[in-house]
Amino acid sequence: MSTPEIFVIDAEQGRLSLRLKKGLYPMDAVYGAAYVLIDRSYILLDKDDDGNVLVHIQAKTGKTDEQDLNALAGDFANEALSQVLRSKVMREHKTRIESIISQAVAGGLGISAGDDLGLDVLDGDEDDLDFLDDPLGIAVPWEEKFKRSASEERPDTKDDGTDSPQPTPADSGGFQPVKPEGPSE
Amino acid sequence: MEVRFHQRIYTKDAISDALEAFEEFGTYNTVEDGDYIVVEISEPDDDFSAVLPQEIANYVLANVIEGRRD
Repeated sequence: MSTPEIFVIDAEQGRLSLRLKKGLYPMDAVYGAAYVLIDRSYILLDKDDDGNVLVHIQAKTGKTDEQDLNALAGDFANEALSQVLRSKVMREHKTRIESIISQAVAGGLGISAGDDLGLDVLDGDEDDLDFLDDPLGIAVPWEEKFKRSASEERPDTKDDGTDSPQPTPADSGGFQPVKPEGPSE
Repeated sequence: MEVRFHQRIYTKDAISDALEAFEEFGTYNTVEDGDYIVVEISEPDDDFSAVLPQEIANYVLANVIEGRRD
């Protein structure tokens, strides 16, 4: 018996049925092959009492002859075989494939294996820092930051009886128009 | 007309999704018959009656395959 075995072929109706020997093709391969042919044929999968998978294929094109149907059966068998091989390669080289893909993704992000991401400060002895510690001196208290302006008295509210100068735009660094030198045009 | 789906190949979810997608093209009744889920089709749309069972079968198959990939 050849596998897949064609056990029904009806050129007038444009359909054929294949029998795949149980255990020869995993179901994933059968599904994969069916999926490839689904755009040009109608496919119904079934199982017989012995556990063999039956594939009923009907061509979508109206006019078919026996040769076309044989070609369709051959395409299905080839695709099923291809799916088996692809699955085997994936299984055997899974780790290597994942490694290549992860390197490719990292490369796309501009990260190479030797890159220093500046995360060393997170390792080692720094772990015992308290949340209030500030070894890099980044944190500045609000009071300290605004100490100068908070402690200074505003000139316009000062009332000590002396003539204090009125604030000018220069005090705040504001805009000071400068008269251009030389004759104007 | 009817389509028989083997339960070890097709899933109920895939079948019900397909019948929902094709609801405007006919009326469907689903019954279990041993290993099979049988979809009985009545009042099919005149324009699609010739291919409705096959189209439903293809749609269910695609649903099953895509469901296995998730």
